[in-house]
This record gives sequence, C-alpha cells and structure tokens, in this order.
Amino acid sequence: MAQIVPLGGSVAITIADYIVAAAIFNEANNSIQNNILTINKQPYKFDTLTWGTSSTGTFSAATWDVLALSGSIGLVNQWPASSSFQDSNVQGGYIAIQGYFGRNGYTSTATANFTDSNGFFNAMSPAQTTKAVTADNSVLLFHAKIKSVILPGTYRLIFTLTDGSTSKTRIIDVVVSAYPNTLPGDGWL
Amino acid sequence: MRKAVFTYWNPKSDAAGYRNLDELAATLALSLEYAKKHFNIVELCTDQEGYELLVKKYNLQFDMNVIRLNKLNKTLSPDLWAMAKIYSCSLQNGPFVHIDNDFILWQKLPDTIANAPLYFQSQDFPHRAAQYDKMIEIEGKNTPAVILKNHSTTSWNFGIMGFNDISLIKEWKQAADQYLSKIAGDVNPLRQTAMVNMFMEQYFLACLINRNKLKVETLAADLDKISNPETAFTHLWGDCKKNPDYIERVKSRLLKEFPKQYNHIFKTDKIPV
Repeated sequence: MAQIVPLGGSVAITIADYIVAAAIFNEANNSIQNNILTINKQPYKFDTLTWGTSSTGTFSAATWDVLALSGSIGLVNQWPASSSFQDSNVQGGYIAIQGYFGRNGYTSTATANFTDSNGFFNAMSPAQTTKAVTADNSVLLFHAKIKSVILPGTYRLIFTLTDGSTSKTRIIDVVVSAYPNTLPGDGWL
Repeated sequence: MRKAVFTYWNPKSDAAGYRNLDELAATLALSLEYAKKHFNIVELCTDQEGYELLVKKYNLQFDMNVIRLNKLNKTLSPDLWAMAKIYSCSLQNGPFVHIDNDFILWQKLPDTIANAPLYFQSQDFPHRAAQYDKMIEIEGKNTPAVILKNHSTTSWNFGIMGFNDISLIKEWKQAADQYLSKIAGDVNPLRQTAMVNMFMEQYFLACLINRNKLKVETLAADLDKISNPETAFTHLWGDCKKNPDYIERVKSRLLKEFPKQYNHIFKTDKIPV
C-alpha cells in the first residue's frame, strides 16, 4: 500500500490492488470518498485536471511496488508547444498517468496498457509502452491520447511491473460519468 | 384536455438508480402530485409488477393505471428502459406530456411552451454529438436508413417530453424496434447498454425531428444556468438520485406538502412542521 499525498490538500487516495478514480462532472469541489476521485468539470469544458503528487518517495530493497501515482486529464492542444505530445491539430483529450515504482538496487520492467470503453483511444506516448527501471526511484511517464472530447466511459491504465520471475499488476480506472452532479433546477427544490 | 404520462418498467426490481425503492416512490409521489395540479389526467403506464409496487404498495394515486408493459418482460432485455418509454409514448393517441419519475414540474408550463408542437427539458450536452458519431461508426449497419439519412447534431434531454404533434412517435418506435432486432444477434464488445438506450431515445427522435424540420421549445434555454432555470422544474438526473442532500429535500417537500403520501411510503406518522 502506498499513499498519494494530496495536491493542494484536496485529493487523497490509497493505492490498493485496484484503484478507482472517477472523474464525475461536478461543479462542486473535487473530493475523494471511498477511493472515488471526483473531479469538478463538465465534459465539454475540460481544462487540465490533476490528481496525485509530484514528489517521489524512497524505495528500499524490500519495497517493490508502485510507490505513488499521479495523473491528469485534459485536452491535447493544451500541452506546451515544446512537448512532443502537443498536437494543435487534435481537438481531443489525453489522460496522463505517472508512476513511481521499482526496487532499489534491482532492474525492473514496467509495461503500460491503456483501454478506452468508448473505443476512441488511438495513441500512447511514448509509443514504446515497456520501460526498464534501472535507477532508484525511477519515474515512468505514460500518456494516453484520444482524438475526441473525453466522453463518459471507463479509461483504464494497467501497469505491470516485472522483477525477475515475479510480476505485479496495478490498475487505474478513470471513470467519467454520464451526468454532472449538478442538479437541474436545484434552485426550485 | 392536458394529459401527463409516467412510465415505470423495472423487471429487475432494483432501485432504478435510487438508493432504494422508498426514495424512488417519494420522488415519484412528489412529481405525481405536482403533475396533478397542472394536467387534467395523469396516467401511469406500467406492467403488473410496477402496478403492484407503485399503486398497491406505495399508494400512488394516478388518474389512470394502464398495465400494458407486461409484453416487454418476455421480449426485451431488462436494461433497455428507453424502449419501455418509447413504447409507452406510442400508446398515446392525442397530445400528451411524458414525465420521468425523477423530474418534478413545479409550475404550470407557460403557453409558449405548452402550445408548441414539441417541447423538451433542454438541449443535451454538446459532447453527445461525438457519442452519436461513435455509435454510427459502431452501429451503422444496424441503424435504420431513415435515421442515417437525417443525421442530427442536436439532441435534447427528455426528462420531460411534450408532444402536441404526435406524428413522429410511431415511426420513432418502428426505428427503435428495427434497430433492436438487428443488434439482437450481433455481438459487439464496444456496444454499451447505456448508449444503446440514449441512441434510440435521443438520437433517433432527433433525426426524425431534423427530417421534418420541426421547431422544438425547451424549458431551459441554457445548460450553464440549469441549476436555476427560468421554467420551474427539478430533474434528479444521473447520480443526483443517490445524493442524500437532494433526496432529503425531496422528502421534506413531500412531508410538508403531501404528508399522507409521505407517511404511507415511509410507514410513519409524522406531522409536518
């Protein structure tokens, strides 16, 4: 188990074998309850949303796992021009997930696979989805790019870490719900 | 003569998106009692099970109980709620308003809306267009030609649907029937039941409206201001039905204004404050 430290004090989830992060379009504040991450944007208004932490932890020889994960969801054309992931011609969305994992003093391999229940997913950056972890406290960064607005559905990133003959799998689901939590006619109820 | 229709078809007997059936009944009771203030006849279209639950158990008093949805139990997947709604609309032979069980109309509709050929809650989210484009990509071969030929980029939210012009309804049902019969033997892992429902409900009707170039009025003009729309309604869409704060407010209104119904549903003897 590892802890994601909140950004700005508003987000905190615990990584178990299975993580559910739900991006629910909600005009209220972001919140986390029962491992559900609620993000406060409507689908057609997505700006960049970020969760998790950018700080690394420390691995020991005994620690072999995902130490922390962070990520963001947003529009491809909002990436800095200097980024290889930037594409001003794509009015689409991206989901980026950054993982800190490995084992001090050992070489590990991390593989990332992305699925999109809407079937829009079309690119992963880096295109090579398997990376070797050779240094301590390695940071591996994967971005999934979708040539569409981010639609309701399930966006799943699966990390598989292999160290010698053993492997571990960690799954992150970003579940985008179909309706905002905003109540139409709230003022009349 | 103004008529309102509610549809209840829940062969899974689950909480239908609410936390429990009592809360569904409370919301529907509030919606029903307000509908009775604005319409001459309020009808429930349901199956035998829905009648036993809503009328016998919860004592919801509709003007008419129409038990016509039993046949769907044998032929339709329990997840295809949209088809029950379309079927219920197709049984109407004059102007009517269809109201969802999570939609409460607080005041009489203004004449500009009530007299329009068609009127709905509001336009739906702009991202629906991308979803329906994707559905066409996935389901093109199964989609009726009349729908494909009249592609619409606009869609509406149907928490409330007003039909003074009922000319499109039979064709809408026919298109949905045709589509369902095509997908029955066509397995597709990208097909999502939620989208199948919305495709038939929202997109098919939007395409037919597009073909006939009909003007549509909406109760809320702007999705950005939907928390306080100019026309008085509340719609507990999506997970709002599970939101404890919203449901408490529904229950408080029911207790305050219709205590008999509240006490029957919750088996209490509370006196409104």
